[in-house]
Parts: sequence; C-alpha cells; structure tokens
Amino acid sequence: MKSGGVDGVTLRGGGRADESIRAMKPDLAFAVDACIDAAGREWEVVWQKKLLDAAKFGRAFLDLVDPRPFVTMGQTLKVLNAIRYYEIGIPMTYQQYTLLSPDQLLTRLTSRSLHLLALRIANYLSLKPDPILKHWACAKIAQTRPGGGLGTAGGSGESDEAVARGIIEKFEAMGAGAGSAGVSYAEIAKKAWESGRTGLATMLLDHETRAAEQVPLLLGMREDGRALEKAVDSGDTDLVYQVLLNLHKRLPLGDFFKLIEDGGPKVAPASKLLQLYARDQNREMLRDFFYSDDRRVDSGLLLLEEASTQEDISARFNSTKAAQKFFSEDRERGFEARMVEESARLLALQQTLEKDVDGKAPFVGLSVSDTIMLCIQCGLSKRAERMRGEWKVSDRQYWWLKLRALTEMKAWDELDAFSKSKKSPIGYEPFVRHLVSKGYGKQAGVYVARCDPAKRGELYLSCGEYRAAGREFKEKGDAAGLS
Amino acid sequence: MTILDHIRKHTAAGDKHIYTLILTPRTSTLISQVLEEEGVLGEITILPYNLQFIPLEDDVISLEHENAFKEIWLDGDETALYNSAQALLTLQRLYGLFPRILGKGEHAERLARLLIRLNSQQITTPGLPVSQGVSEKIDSLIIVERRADMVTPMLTQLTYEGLIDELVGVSNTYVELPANIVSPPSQANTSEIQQNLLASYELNTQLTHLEDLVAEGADRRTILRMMVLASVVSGGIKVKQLESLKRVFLQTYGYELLPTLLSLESLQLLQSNPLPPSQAHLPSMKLPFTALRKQLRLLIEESEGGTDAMPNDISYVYSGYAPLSIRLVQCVAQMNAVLASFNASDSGKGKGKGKDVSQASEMPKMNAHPIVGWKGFEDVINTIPGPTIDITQTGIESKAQGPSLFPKEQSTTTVVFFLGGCTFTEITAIRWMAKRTRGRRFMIATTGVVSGNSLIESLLPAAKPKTAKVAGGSS
Repeated sequence: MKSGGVDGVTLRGGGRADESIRAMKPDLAFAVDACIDAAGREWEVVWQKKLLDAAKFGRAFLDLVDPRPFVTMGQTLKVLNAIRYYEIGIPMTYQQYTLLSPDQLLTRLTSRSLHLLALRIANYLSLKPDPILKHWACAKIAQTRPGGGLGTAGGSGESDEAVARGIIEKFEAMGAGAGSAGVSYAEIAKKAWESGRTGLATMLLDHETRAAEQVPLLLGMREDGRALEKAVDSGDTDLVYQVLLNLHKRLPLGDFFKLIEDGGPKVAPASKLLQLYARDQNREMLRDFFYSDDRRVDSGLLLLEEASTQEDISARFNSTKAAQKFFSEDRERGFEARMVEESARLLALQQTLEKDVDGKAPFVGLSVSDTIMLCIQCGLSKRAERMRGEWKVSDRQYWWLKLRALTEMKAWDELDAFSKSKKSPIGYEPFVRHLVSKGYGKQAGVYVARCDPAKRGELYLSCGEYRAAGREFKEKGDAAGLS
Repeated sequence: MTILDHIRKHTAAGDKHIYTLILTPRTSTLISQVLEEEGVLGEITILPYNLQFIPLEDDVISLEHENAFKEIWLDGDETALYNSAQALLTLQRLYGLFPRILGKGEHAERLARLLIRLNSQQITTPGLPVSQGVSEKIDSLIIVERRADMVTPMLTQLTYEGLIDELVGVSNTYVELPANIVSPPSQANTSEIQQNLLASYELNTQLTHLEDLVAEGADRRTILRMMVLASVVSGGIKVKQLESLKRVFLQTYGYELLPTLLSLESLQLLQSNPLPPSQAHLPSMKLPFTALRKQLRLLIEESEGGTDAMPNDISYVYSGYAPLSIRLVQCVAQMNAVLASFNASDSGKGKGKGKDVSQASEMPKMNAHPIVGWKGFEDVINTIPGPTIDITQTGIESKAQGPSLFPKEQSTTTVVFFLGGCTFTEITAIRWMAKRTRGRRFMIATTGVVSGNSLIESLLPAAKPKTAKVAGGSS
C-alpha cells in the first residue's frame, strides 16, 4: 500500500526530504506505521530494508513514538526470512505467521527436527527453549541407539554416558533442565527407559531436581534404593510415604526391611517414618521390624504400650513380663529391666489387694505411692509397711505418703501417734504446711512447736494462730513479725 | 465420630451426601491410602488447603503446628520442616529473597538448605509472582531451633501472658478457664531450684529438693521440667543420683512413664554423666552452659537489670536470666545489647555489691546496625553444638553489594523463625529488642507457641481412660 506520504518519505536528498516531512506532519505517524506494515508484507529483503529505513527516518521526526512495532517487525522479518530460505523452505506469509504465532512455528520446526533453527529463533525471540530441547533429546535418544536407530540407516550407536553427557551439556548451556519449570529430565529419562536404555535413564534422572518427578519414575524402573534415597533427600515426607507404601505392597517383607536397613543413615528418616506409620496402622509390621533389627528396647517399649491398653489383668501381666525379658537382654538397660519387673510385681500385688478389700477400692493401675496411700486409707497399714520394704521406699518418701494419706482420712490421732513414732526424717514443717494447704490450720498448729524455733512465728501465722505467733515474735524481739 | 463413622452411618441410612475432605496444608498419601483400604475413597473429594502462617498478633505469625518439637526431634518426622520451608518460601515470593539467612543447629541448617533448594526449583504457584530479587523490606532471616536452647522453656515464665500459659494454657490465642479458676491447684514452688540450677549451685541439694517435691505430689510435668533443666545445665547427672531420681519418679507417678524417661534420654535431655558406652560415640548435643552463661551474660544481677518498669536487658522476662535463644538473636540483630551487658557487669565489679538500682540506667535506644552475620561472636557460637548457618542470597537483579546499608529513615524487618516453637517470654523479649532499636522491626515466625508444659506433655503417654483419685492426687 503506497500512499503519497510514503512516497514522500522514501525520497532521498537532504532539503527536499525535510520539506516533505514537514508537509505531511499530521500524517507522519500514520505514514511510519504504514511503512512498517508494508515491510512485513514484502518478500524481497531489499524492499524490506528500504521500507524499514524509511520508517526509521520518519520516526526521528516524531515526538512520542512507541518503538515496539518497529522492533517487533524487524524480528519478525528476520525469522520469516530465515524460514523462507530455500534450505528450510517454508514460504510463510506475514499474515500466516501472525495468525500462527511464533510458538506454533517453533512447534512445526521442531517436529521437522529443525532443532538448531528452532532454538536459535526461540533464543532470539526470548521464548522458552524447553519443548524444543525435549524433542531434540528424545530424538537423540532414538537416533543414538546402539546398533542403529529407527529410520536412520546405520544410526550412530553412542554409549549411554556419551548421550547423557550430550543432553545434559546442551540443557545446561541453554539454561533449561534443572531448575526450569519447562522440560524435565524426568520426561526424557522416561523416554530413555521406554527405549530400554535404563543406564541412560538413570543418569538423566540423577539430574532431575524435582523429586516429585524423579521418584515415581525410579520406582517404575525398580530402582528402589535410589527412589527411597531421593525421596528422603527431597525433605518431602509425603513423597517418602508414597515410596514406602509402594515398596511395602510390592516387596516381600524381608526384602522391604533389608532395603531400608541397607540404605544406612541416608535413609534413616524413611525408617523413622515407617515406624510412625506402622505404629498407627500396622503394629504387626512394627513388631517384626524391631525384632528383625534386634531393637530390644523398642520391642520392650512396644509391649509396655500394649500392656497399658489391655483390660485383662493376666494379659497385662504377661505383656509386662515379656517386655522385661527384652530389656534384660540389653546390658545397658539394667535399670529399665528392674523397673519393668517392679511394675509386673506391683500389678500382681494390686490384684491381691483388690481381693483383700472385696473390690471396694481400685488398686490396679495406680502407682506405687498411690497404692501405699490407698492401703493406708483402707486400713491396710501392715500392707503399706510391707510395700515400703519390698519397693525400697525411702524414709522421706514414706513419711510424706503417710502424712498425705492420714490427712486425707482426717485421722488426727493416728497422725499424731505416727509423728511421734520416731524423729521425723522430713522434719515437722511439712506437717504444718501440708495441713494448712489442705485447710486444716487448727490441726497444723500442734506441730509448730516441734519446728525450728526461727520459723515458728511465721508458721503460727500461716495456721491462723495469731496469739501464739505474737508470743513467738515477742520472745525473739521480732518487731516486724509483730506488726 | 470419625469420618468413616459418619460416612458409614449415612450409607446405612440410605442418605446421599457429597463428601469433601479438606486437608491442610496439603493432601496426604497416607490418608488416601487409609480411606482406600476402608473402601470409601471413591466417595470423597480430597482437597488441599494451603494454610501457612496464621497471624496471631501484629508481629507474630504461626503455623500452629502442634507437637512440632516432638515430631522433628523425637519421631524424626520432618514434615514440619517441609511445611516451614514452604511457608517461608511464600514470604520470599511476596517480599523478595532473604538477603541473609542465619541460624544455629542441625535442623535449622536443613531448613535453610531446603528453602534454597525449593526456591531454585521455582515451583510456581498460580497467582504469586516469582520474585527473584533480594528483598528490600526484610534484611535477614534468623532461624532458631528449639533444640538449641532447651533451658529457656523449662523455666517458669514470669511475663503476664507467659504466666497464664503456665497456669492454664493458651491455645491458638484462646484460654479455656477451668471451673476452679478462683482457687487454682497449688503450684509447686520451684523458683529457688531453678535459680540455683542456673547458677550451677549445689546440684545435689537441688536434686534432693526435687525428690521432696515428688514426695509431696507435685505436678509431674513440673518435676520433668526440673529434671531436664538440671541435666541440660549440668551436662548430665551422675548415674547413681539419676537412677535414684528416676526410681522415685516412676514409683510416684507410675511405671507407665518409663517410655517418657527413655524419650527424654534419646533426646539427650536427661542424660547420665558419664554416658553409657553405647551412647558415648553419638554426636553430642550438650550445651557448654557454664561457659555460655559467662560469655553471653545469661545471668544478670538485679542491680544491673534496670527496674521492672524500665528493664535494660531481656533478662527481665525471667527475673535475671536472659534466654539463650534471644541472646543468639541479639548477636545478629542487636549486638550492642549483648556487648552492653558485658560492660554493665564490668563496671559493676568495680563498684562492689549493693549497687544502687537507679545507677543502672536504661539502655539507650540505638539505631539498628546492618546485619553482618555472627561477626564478633563466632567463637562463642561455635561452641554450641550444631552447624552455624550464615548464607547470603543474591537474586538475579542484585542491587546491594556487601552488608545491606539503608538510610536511617527507612526501617527494615528482621524475621526470626523458631523451628520447634517459641514461648511467650521469648516473644516479649524480642519485642523489647524492637522497642530499643530504631529502624528495625522484628517479625516473629514460629511453628507454634509452646511452654515447658506443652513440650513435656507431648512426650507423655496418651491420657488413660480411668484415673483413680487418691490423697492429694499425683498426676
């Protein structure tokens, strides 16, 4: 489309060009756009250039001009010229190109295996090279199959390493692959694996950074150890569970455990997660796992846990004894073994005690201290004394238990008698303080006299015995206390 | 009723419903598996709801991930780590890369590395810009892992909110008041034991007092906290004493707590000194507490700490003990405060005891200094077990060269992330830091708000259905 304005602009020669430009000032913008558009529709490079030069010249005289149409057209023409070149042979018009879009053009070039051109164009237009690279990589894999590729007569048989290296280098050079959201090594690896080149697939997969893509393929390739490792590396616990569940379904239990064991410290997190899962969903498996790994303490703990949920006393007793056996098998767990033995013994005793009181008091499930206190409260003081010896309860501990139990029973005479039975290993201040805290200030007063003289004033106060307190303070000349 | 119960009930009654299960922050393979095994997977639509940080206050955001501490350190389940990384990633997408990532501890390092890796994978979420530039609003991310400082949470919190958490328990910013709020259950007074343990004063005596408290029937969580405190601060307890203490504990509170004691042992929070041969070769998490106490001035004399109204050091939140975790944050973001406490005690020595309180003046408000990592404190920091993290991130369009300098008028934000939980007192201490610093704000991010009780509770066995009541009760 040639208008007078265009004619005017394409004229050369200094002054006359200036005049012409000034003459068409109001239409200049339109004229520039028209030149650009016309250039796009020209097939001969000579004319493309002339028209763009004209547009450039005219632009200089405009105040506000959007550079984009000019730049875009330049790019477009470069691309069109390239594909129209006889070796490529795509006679595409400007209109077709605009309708098709550069992306689609790239797809077409790619499917014709014109990878280099496509990549260059993509780079030039700042489009993502990923789909092109993916296609190229897959083609390379097919072509370089040892012993000849599909459709290529005597195709080069490259080793897996060479191919992998080639692909990786290319990807990294083009800024795709690891880290980009476009093509994934996983997809290429899958293609390699499907072509039976497992070695190549593994090498490529190693470069895949997104575990969520990497792991399922590794599982499909039966690279179980690696799948587990990569899942653990990713820090994504859900992915680890996926792998574990998959392997558990597929492998016999022994192999499954061995796989985890062989993985060593690197897959230790997976082992932990498996234990968590098994604890909730599959106790049997957990038991087997601990057993196969010689984890005595864990086996023991599992039994203790079971014991705590068992209603039937004899079942509970048996589980506890079994737990004790596990603990005693570990030389460093002597203390724990003793404690578990004590707990079994306690259970047996508590059963007897419940029979003694005709089931009127619930002994089973209480701690040693609580059992002793309940004995005292039920009038089974001989039993309580016996327990004290059998469980090696210290004097201090026992006196506190007696104090608490008798207070609960409001057995003041008995408490008094007990307090005098011998010199209290805990002193008498605890008597005062405990009785006061339970609201028995009056009873507490009796014991203050046996306390440390320095503290008596304050103790009487806490009992509400003001007169006695006053006396104490006066005797000491404690003015502050008196007030 | 469980989800399954609901569905089965409806099916039995012939009701048709549309079931949608929303899991947060993401869907779970395990859950799908269980539902599949139960035969109901086909009837349910499972959707993820990516709820990350929840603002609890203007300056506190929390993942509200309960039991993160137990999951990470006892169970070895790093889900909380992964979720934390995703949440921090979102912060980066919104505000730009953290120019500097600092931290201390093995899991803090894993978190940092995970964050960097996830970021480089540019996993795009529709709707959020993929920001590759370094942040202009945030100057650094400081990751503090709970395990690095287990002393602080074991102490009784003395701030207002902290005390409420101790007595009643704050959950998701809500408090459920028990019926007997007027006369709450009596708390064993362990403040003397705590102070003495912190000062490494007569450990044996404190342990004997502790046994007495056990005999009195104190709350078992309190006893466990004190046991942990004693072990961590002293680097372990002598075998005989530890066994005696554990025995009394089990006899009083029940043998079913044996697993809890073993858990504490495996966490290296309740250790014998020396360690049994099988554990001697394991990597140690022992804190060199006495050295740290001196080098970081963790114990501040009353005369040096300012007044209640105008405290001049973070130690006011524990009446004279500066939380180790916060001292670490100060090393990075408020160096003058750590150094000032050195000077205070030096000058205090010259003047002798009984220093007039009014002379300990309030620490003047200082301008925020640029973040230079652990500079000046490397030696001290490296004595704490676990790797030390100091990573600089440069985005694609990096503008800053070297330490980020900013004009005085502009204020920056320092994000402090507590992996495993933080206490109310630690929040208060950081707020104090913010008030004393011109030009720097602090954003406290955490997996959750914890207390000594909540941490210990996560290690206790599940509550027994039947409990017997006896004199005083010893649960």
